[in-house]
Amino acid sequence: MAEQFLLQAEQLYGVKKESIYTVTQLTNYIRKKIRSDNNLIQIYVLGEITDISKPSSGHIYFSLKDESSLLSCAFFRQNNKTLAFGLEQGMEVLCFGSLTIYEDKSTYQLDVASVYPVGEGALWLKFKQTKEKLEREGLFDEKRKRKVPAFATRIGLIASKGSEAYHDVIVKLKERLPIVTVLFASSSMQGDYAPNEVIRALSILNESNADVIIIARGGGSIEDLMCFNNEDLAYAISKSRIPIISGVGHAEDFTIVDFVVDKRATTPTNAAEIAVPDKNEVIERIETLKHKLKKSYENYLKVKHKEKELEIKEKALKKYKIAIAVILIIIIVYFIIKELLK
Amino acid sequence: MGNEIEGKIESSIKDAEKIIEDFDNFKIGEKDAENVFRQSNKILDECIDLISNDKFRIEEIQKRKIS
Repeated sequence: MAEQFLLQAEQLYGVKKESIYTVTQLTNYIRKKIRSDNNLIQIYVLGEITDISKPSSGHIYFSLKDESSLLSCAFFRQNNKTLAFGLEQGMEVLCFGSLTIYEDKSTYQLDVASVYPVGEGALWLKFKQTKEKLEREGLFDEKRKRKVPAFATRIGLIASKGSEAYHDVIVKLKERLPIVTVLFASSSMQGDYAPNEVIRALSILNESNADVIIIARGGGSIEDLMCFNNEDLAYAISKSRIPIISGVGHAEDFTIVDFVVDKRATTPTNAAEIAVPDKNEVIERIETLKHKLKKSYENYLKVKHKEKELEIKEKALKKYKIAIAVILIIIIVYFIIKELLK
Repeated sequence: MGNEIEGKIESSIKDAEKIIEDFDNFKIGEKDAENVFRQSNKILDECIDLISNDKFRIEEIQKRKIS
């Protein structure tokens, strides 16, 4: 049929059929051109996401736009399954991929291999999205949280052995309450393996008779602390039988773990301070009580002593009054008899 | 959650506070007063001893159970 139309076109308009493209030929030609142009394959394109759609196929379709242009993008399932954050409308991103032709519409589009957020960093974005999700699920609810005991003496500690955090917690616990037993579960506190190792340590400590568990790690970059934004770890913490205190990073560092735990400490040292009371403060409290007890007892004795004195005086007074009354009666009787004898 | 030491200290403190209140309100008989005072004082001393002894120790539990 196409050959017939080509011949007809040649006869009617004098255009040689070799010079006429079919739509498919032209599309294929453009595709070849694009594929052979290094400026159009494996390129980075910066723009704002618009018209995003996420069908059930798992592919993600969106357009990238800037002030004056729009570029269709296809982010296929095999490429987007490892994406560490969710793509959203209005998000500024840097896309890496190759330009291709979409035959059905003869339009060109970017076949996206990976996406990097710009503006809000990828880690921050991931953190934000995980936090929102877990908050919706109620993991941060105060009602769900367990009460941290006031006087723990068996402390579960999850930290990296020999780390500064480990050292800080041990020193502070020993300083505050030297009767403490630390049940130490060593774990990586950084990197890809850390979440699973901490989950495993939590599981082991949950089988122990620890009163409270401390998760301790010193300060670090956002990347270093990323393992504490892990969803599985958050769920494991929420399911713990034993109350958990987090002492991760510095006061200004917040991770997902900090929101899920029963008590967030600003530092590993602070976690130890929360976990156990200061021995000296407890002794002082008891000494104060002993002093009050002594005072109360002495006061009690003083009052009782006065009561006795008063009782003795009252008895003496009573006897004195009786004696006076008897004397008066005798005097009266004496005078009556005297009058009668006159 | 709680433990033996916490229980002992907290209950001893509560008991002592109650005894102080009872002394202040003269609810304790004269015959028992001295004994009550001495006993309470002794228990508070025991609490101090309980947390003063250095028994700090570290048990590395993960290696034992995992490896």
